[in-house]
Amino acid sequence: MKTELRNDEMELVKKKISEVLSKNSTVLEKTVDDMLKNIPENSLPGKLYEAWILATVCENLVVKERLTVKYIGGSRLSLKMKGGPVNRSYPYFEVYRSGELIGELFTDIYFNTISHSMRAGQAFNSIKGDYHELDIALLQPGIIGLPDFSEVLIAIECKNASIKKSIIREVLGFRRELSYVSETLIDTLFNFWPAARVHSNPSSVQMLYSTDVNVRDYEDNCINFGIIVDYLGLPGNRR
Amino acid sequence: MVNTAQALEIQRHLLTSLQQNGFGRIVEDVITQVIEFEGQLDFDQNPTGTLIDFLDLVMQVISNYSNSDYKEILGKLNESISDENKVRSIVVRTGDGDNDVVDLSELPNYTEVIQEFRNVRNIIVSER
Repeated sequence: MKTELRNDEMELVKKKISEVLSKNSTVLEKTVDDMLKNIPENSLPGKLYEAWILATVCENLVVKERLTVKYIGGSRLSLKMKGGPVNRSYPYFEVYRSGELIGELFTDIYFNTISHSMRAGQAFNSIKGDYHELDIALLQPGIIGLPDFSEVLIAIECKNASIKKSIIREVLGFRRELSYVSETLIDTLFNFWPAARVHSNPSSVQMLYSTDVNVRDYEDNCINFGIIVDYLGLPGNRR
Repeated sequence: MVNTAQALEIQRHLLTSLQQNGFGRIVEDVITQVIEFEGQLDFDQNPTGTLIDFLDLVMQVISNYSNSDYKEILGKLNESISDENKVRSIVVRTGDGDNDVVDLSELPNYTEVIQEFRNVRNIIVSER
C-alpha cells in the first residue's frame, strides 16, 4: 500500500493550490479580505447554512407534512446577526394546514426560558438567562415580542462547523429551557415531520442540523429528549 | 497517502498561499476552528486523515464566504412557497440602518477553488 506521495505528486498538489488561489485572489478587483473588512467578524459564517436549513425546513413542511407555506413581507429575506423579538417589519413565513394558520416561521428569535417563567411573580428585571436565541423557530401564530417556551413548535439550531461535545451540551441546555422531559411520548402538532410524538412537555420539537457527519454519534441520546439531530451538508459540499 | 513531513508541508503551503492571496479572513477562521476543536490535529499518528480533515475544514470555511450555493438555496426556498410572493434575495443585517446589509448573492463565487481543493484531496487519498 502506498504510504506517501511521490515528489512529482507533491509538486502537483502545491501547484494546484497556488494556482487556483492566485487565480481567485481578486473577485470584482477586490480580495475577500477587502470585501469583508467592514463586516463584523462572525456575521457571515453560518448564515448561508442557516438559509439552506430554512429552505430545507420549508420543503419538509410542504412535502413530508403536507402543509402550505406562504412568504410574508418584502422580497428581501433578512437574516440577523443576533436574535431579537418577533418583528413583522421583516419578512417571515406563515404555515397553514388545510387553510388554517398553524404557525409562523422566523429566524434569529429569542424565546423566554422556563427559568424565566419560574422567576416570574418576583420583582425582577430581565436578565440574560431569561432568553436564548433560536436560529430558526416555528412559533404559534400571533406572537408579539418574545415567545414563551410553550409557544415554540419547532426550535432549530444550525451548525456549519465541526461538532464538538460543547455544541451538544449547548443543545441539551436549550432543551432544558424549552421543555421538561416526559417519560411518555406526547403528541406534537405534526403528523409526520419533524416528529409526531416526542419525550417533551410542552411537546416542541428541537432540531440540530450540522454539516459534520459526526453529529450522528449523538442521535440516539438526543432523541430521548425530543431533540432530532440531522447531518446535512451545503449543496456544494454534496456535489 | 502522505507521510507526516508531507502533510505538514502541504498544510503550511496551503495556509501561506491563502494568506498571500487575500484570504486572510479564511485563515483566521480556520485557525479559530482548529483551536476550538477538541481533538487536536495529530499529524504524527495519522498524517493523511489529519490533512484531509484540515483540507475539509478549509473548504467548509471557504464555502461560508462563497455564493456558490446561493442560487440553489433561493430556488429551493421559493419552490416551497405556495403563492406568488417569492423571496428575491437573501441578506444578512449587520446593523440597524437600511444600508447595513450584506447581500449574500454579492459574495464571491469560490466554486473553482473548492473544486480544485477536492482534486487535491483526491490526489492525497489516492493509493495508486
